Amino acid sequence: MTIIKKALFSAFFLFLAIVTFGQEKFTLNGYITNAEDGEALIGATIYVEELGIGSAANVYGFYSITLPKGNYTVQISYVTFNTLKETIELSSNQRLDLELQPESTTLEEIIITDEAIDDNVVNIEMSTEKLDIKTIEKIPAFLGEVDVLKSIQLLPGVSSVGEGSSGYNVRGGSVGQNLVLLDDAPVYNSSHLFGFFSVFNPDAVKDVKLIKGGIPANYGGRLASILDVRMKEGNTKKTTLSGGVGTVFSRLAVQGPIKKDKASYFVAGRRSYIDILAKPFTDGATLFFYDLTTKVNYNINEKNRLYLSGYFGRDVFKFDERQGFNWGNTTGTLRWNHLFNDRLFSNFAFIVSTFDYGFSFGENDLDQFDWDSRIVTYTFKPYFNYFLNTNNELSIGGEGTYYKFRPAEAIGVSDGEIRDISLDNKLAFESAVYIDNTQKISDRITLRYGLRYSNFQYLGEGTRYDFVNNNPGERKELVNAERVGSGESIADYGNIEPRASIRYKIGTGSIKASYTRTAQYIHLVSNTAAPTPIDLWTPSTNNVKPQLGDQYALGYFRNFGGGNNFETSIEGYYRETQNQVEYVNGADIFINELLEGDLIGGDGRAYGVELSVKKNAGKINGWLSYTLGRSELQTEGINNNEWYPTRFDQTHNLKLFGEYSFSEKTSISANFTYVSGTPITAPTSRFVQQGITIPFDYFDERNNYRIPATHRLDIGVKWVPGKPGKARKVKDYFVFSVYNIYGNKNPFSVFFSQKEGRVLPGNPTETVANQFSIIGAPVPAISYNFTF
Amino acid sequence: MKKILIILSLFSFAACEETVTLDLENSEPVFIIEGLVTDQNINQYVRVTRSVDFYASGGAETISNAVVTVSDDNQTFTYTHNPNASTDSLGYYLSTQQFAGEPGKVYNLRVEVNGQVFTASDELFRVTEIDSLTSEIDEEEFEDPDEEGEFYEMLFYTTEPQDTKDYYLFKFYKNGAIIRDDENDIFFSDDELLAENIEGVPTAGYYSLGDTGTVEMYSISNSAFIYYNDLINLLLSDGGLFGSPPVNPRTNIQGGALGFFQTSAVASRSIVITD
Repeated sequence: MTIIKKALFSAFFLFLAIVTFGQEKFTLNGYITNAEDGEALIGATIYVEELGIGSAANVYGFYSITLPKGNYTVQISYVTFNTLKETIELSSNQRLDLELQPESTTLEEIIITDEAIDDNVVNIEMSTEKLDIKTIEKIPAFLGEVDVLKSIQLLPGVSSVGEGSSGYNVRGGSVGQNLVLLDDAPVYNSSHLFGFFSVFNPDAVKDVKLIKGGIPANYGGRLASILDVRMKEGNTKKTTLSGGVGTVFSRLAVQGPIKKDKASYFVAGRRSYIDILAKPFTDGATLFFYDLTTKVNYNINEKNRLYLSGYFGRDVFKFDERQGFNWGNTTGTLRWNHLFNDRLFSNFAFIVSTFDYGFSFGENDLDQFDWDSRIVTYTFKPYFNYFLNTNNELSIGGEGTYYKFRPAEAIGVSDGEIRDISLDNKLAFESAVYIDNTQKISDRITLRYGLRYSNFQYLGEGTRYDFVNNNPGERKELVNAERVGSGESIADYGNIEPRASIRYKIGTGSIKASYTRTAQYIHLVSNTAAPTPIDLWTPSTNNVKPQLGDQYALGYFRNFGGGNNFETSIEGYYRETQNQVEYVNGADIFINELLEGDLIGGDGRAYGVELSVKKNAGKINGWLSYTLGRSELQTEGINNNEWYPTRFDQTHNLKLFGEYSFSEKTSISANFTYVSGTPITAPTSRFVQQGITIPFDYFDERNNYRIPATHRLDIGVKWVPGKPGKARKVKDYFVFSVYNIYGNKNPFSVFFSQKEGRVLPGNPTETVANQFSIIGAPVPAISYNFTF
Repeated sequence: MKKILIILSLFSFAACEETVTLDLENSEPVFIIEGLVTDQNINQYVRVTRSVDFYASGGAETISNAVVTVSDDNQTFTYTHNPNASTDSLGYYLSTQQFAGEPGKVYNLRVEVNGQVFTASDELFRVTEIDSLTSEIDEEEFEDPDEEGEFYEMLFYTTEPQDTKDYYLFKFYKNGAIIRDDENDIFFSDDELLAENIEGVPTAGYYSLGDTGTVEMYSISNSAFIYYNDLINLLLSDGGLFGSPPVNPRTNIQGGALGFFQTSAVASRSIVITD
């Protein structure tokens, strides 16, 4: 580890040496914010006309650009904001905080700047999708409730196993291979109501970025993707109240300055109320969720800013008064932005994140069962963003996370007698250091290269188990269990993760390529197709090896039309993975002390092509995403050692979204989805034992049958009340939507059972397959949203 | 976990379930062997059949030409196919002599059919006694009985030995016929969460006054427990969405057949349902 650190530091000094000392140079820096509410504009660009060079603001809205002494005209631009032109007389280092005005909403005034908005082509980033909340709000949503995770599933390379299912799959990766960050805090379960909605309150979300490939070195810990969600900071100019009344839940958000332009707060809450409406019909059973997203920020001075953000959410699902379960996430992030000098930006983040669930069963105090499970993590992340010169931008940093897994605190009461079948806590420490540089070689070529070294220690106090595996694919046999003292290492892993990307401009388009190696040390143990709230995270141990992935991606990006109306790209990817978590036949993953004996490692491969066409401006806008993909596993002892498709393997995935504005008051949007069926394990045969008919698979294959393809069309109409041209005090609008307008019965799952109806004694029972559709009819909804 | 699906569908009023015909692969028939040796002195049985395709109509194909033996350390018992030549006992083989299995012994099954040999062994464990049975009115059922007058439940009392790791299979009868809450129910348990005194645990189904209720408690081995667990997972599978994916049950039969060879001590008790 020390060797790696040394290597990183010498690399750092090497970069320092690249700084040229020829001409007298000065730095222009500052924050770029929204003039209306003071929110930082992530990725806003600053462009120096005279030199034809530019830079972009980081995730805190901070930019820094170093130029020779002189007079310049700089353009500051951001999508959906008016471009700002400033003339600068640069004769010393200069702090310049900038505010951009949002484009006025009238359609005629869409400004086509003389500089091409060709970020898609010019940017080094590939395999990266950005969604702003305005776009998310346009997509017709299930029950009219816009949702971040449902929206990203409309992007190329992103899929899910079924409608309403929890989690998402990126480029053939499993749900547990996505890192979900909410203001830098990892979110261990991102679903509400079993996956119909996500934990992200759309009122609180500012920016969503999904990185599917070419992952920069400052991110790590998961194989498939990074979803970086940033919350709003709170309006620094004035207090506003916004919210919505929908079919499923209601939302309310308050934000405003604590001290104008210095400090602000943001609080947003939601609660679903279907349980209250359905109370007369549900006989004590209930299902609801609530969440609270909150943030405070304080602009101490020009060099220091503090941000404190938190999320608290819970789902409750009760069968009756005593029985049921509940689950929820809590995250807290404290961040301190500090400017060491004009070019060295830093951020220190302290993060706490937990996910827990609890189960209760039993009809009375004498016979009951309670089970709680929890993961708690503490993270410290220092990050340095060094704007070396106009051609190099460095990121250096580290990450340290202490994990406490509590797989089961379980108490059974049988006839008044208490049984404690709790499992030991599992402790681990994960750390990483990284260095990453974005270097402009020429107008044509930009490189981004980095190195991440990650380390994972599975620590005592705990038990080290040793297994022998005589029959691959079957439960491993325990040969030794040994107590390990507090702080002692049970397993220790380290991985070097190189990352590299290149962009090469050809004509009006560009070619981009990237290579990413990632290591993943904690694993989501989920033996079901769609993750459930009771899935467990478990650390790498001496038996469960860290997952490793290598991804290669190649793409061509090009824009067409005046003002780059059409953004297009085509990307191919290939990923090979090792130590994928698989399960022995009949694996017991709950409250199993010997869980490690039921987990086996397999190899994975996923490859595909993604096509994206977007039209961003005009009365008609929207996008098309198409993915052709394959995702497979090979595990010794499973499926006769042959490659088999993963449960979420999807061959075709087509998404079309379009919006048409009739007037400034009314717009209509539509969303069409067609996805191939995912594979399931289906029986081929049946037999009868003790009068019970039992289906089984003669070939003993996994995921041997594909359920039919699903498709549906959703329509939404947005209507702003009031007379045209007249501004209302309250900005409000209605959304009418119909999900699955032609009522297609899309299969959610297929299961097998005995034929319904009474079988006469002596007559044989036959078996049938049943297809279950969560949404088999059109679902209309209406919601009302307001801000004042 | 099907319960989650039900609740989800309540939530989403647009849910629906329909029977579909899948284009499943054709398979070869597989021998299915089901055998039981109990500690009762009776003609013990083994059943040999063959599986059929998932969508095949009709019942399992019964096998009448197998050679079946069961042995312990000392002796071998031979079995004959359907000695009473009864049409509903096709595929059943009974031991030619009556014998009682003994706790602590391992029994070995050998089945030879068309030149293929299948073997299995299982250890017979002791079983605890059923101390008593009682009956009482179930309030909820009383208010809204499925069948008129049928609202008594039978309660079961036993003493679970705490010094051994035990597994149990239960069967419940009403007037001699097996009774379940659901046609796919199999009642079995390990003793992990069982206290020593099991007092008044309700059994399956409801009874009318005057019915005879019977409980049979079988000791089973760990491998039988795993087998029944796999069966239940298969039967209750929702297609792997919230439950684990369907997996063929782990059998103790060697040689490529499915089914299970089980040895059990049986405790049995009956009552007449009274107020």
